[in-house]
Amino acid sequence: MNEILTQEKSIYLQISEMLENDILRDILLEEERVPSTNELAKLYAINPATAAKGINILVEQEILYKKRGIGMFVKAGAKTKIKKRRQSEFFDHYVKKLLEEAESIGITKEELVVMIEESK
Amino acid sequence: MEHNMTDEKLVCSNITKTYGKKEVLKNINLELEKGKIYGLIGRNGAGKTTLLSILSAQNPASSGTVMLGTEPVWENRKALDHICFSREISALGVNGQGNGYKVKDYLRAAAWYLPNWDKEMADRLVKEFDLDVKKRVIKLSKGMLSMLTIVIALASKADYTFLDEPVAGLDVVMREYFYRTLLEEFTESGRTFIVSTHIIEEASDVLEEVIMLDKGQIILKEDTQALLERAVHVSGKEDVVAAATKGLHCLHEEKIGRSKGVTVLLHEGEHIQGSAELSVQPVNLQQVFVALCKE
Amino acid sequence: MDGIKRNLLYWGYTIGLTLSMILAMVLGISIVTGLDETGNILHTFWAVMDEYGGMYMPFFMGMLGMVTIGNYLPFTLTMGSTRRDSFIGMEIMLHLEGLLLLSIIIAAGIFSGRTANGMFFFGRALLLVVSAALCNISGWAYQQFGKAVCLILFLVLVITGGLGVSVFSAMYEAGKWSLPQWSLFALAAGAVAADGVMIYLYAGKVKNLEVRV
Repeated sequence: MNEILTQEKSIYLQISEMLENDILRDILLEEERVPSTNELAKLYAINPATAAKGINILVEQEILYKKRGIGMFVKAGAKTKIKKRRQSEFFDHYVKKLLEEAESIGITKEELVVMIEESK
Repeated sequence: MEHNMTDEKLVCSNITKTYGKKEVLKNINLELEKGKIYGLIGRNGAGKTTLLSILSAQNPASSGTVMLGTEPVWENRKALDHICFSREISALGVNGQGNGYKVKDYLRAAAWYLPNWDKEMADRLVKEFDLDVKKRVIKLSKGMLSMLTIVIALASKADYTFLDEPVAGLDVVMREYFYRTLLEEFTESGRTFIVSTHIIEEASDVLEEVIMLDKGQIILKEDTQALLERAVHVSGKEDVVAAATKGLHCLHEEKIGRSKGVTVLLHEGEHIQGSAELSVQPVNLQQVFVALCKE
Repeated sequence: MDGIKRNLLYWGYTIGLTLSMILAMVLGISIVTGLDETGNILHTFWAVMDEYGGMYMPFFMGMLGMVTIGNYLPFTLTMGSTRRDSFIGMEIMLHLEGLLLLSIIIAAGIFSGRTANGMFFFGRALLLVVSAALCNISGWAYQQFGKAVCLILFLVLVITGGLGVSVFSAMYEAGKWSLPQWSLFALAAGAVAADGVMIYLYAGKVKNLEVRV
């Protein structure tokens, strides 16, 4: 949770990603309460509406759920859901860029495979 | 008992302001809601102070109306009780005659005039800002003057509170403190704040919606995050960039040699795909504003 | 009327400061110029107040008029008051505190041994009305002509007015000439009308008063 906000991406997306990272790292466990909108707003000095947007994304993806009057909680199976989604996004987010960069500097696919197999 | 005015919208219709021959505000139409932090962004001389002044009936408009719900704002205590415009305090006094007041004179007057004045909060902030209440305003630094206007604005507990360049003269630590204090108060009370500033980037995380004013006109009013999502900077070889940005709303372009960079505002449904040949990068609020001004 | 109430507090305090300045000045003069034959500070105070109060009052009130519209009124606007509430509050406290000062001047006259006859009270009541009118005139002139012209106008008015009154009352008391009853009424009516007119003109200047951006 203590990452710093960058300019690279919309703030609310960064909030939801940070919460996801914490779930993956077991910093937030399933059925545990996550910080409220106001707490997040205070922590990152951002508008509560922005923090709320970030949380709502995770609610829509069924990673968080709301317990009326108490707050937001990590849903059971959230960790698996996040992993699955990120796996399907892996190609677009990482591999594609890798292939583009390799192409622009003249590294062939075969050379890439060798690099991967020989890496530790 | 007057009906609950605290949730009413502040609506500005066709506001124009002319000083002599100069048209300082041109046909301003604005609708402000309860429970948001708005940023009023503009260059020096764009008309920010004038607009805030007219919204709070401290100056008359040349034409047009400002309404809080169903009540006009002009010369109307019922509406004005819900509005506070804490303007810049200067050593010259309000209309240039010279300011003999001390900090405590301001605080005393605020307690008399502002119906929701929170003395406890004011005292606490004065202490935190290390303001000497006995000191004359002409002896205060710009930063301390800003702090005094901030104290008055926050402790006013007004439903619609305007701050004009509140961080002028504050060092970076105090500026961060201000944004945090503002957010805290906002979160707790749900008051509407309009913060005018020309130090844009710092404030962008705090502002839910931005209103951009340029040469007396509103050039943009949008949710901050939504705006930032549709602003991109596209760069690469000239012809590749030209092809990718054809027909799109281009704000500003630079060319060096064979490369070209364009700031683009994407509209609904538009999208630019990055590739090995085309860099597509996000743009921050300040960059969007500067690009819009150059348009 | 809540809106006026806040202004009564503010203007009461602000005009009260001017009042205190006058009193402090008279006290200061009493001490500095040395006590009179009775050796009593209070007696000296009354004597000075009686002799010079009539001069200080219009002078200070006139200055107040300029500062009011140039500084204090706009200040109340920045605190969210309406022009109407502020103006009404100001005029009420102006006349009220003017009356307070007048009472002190009257008391000074009585304690200094003047005969409290009709002419005595008439002259002093006139002083109040003229001072209030002067305050409003200077406020109006300040907006109409600007600072410099207004100051000159004001000084001219005060000097000629002061001289005129001194000459007039000296000659009257010396018995050189007396005034018929009706002229006194006319004078009184004229003064009140002048105050009324000046209030009206002043209000005109306040109606769309701008706070300087």
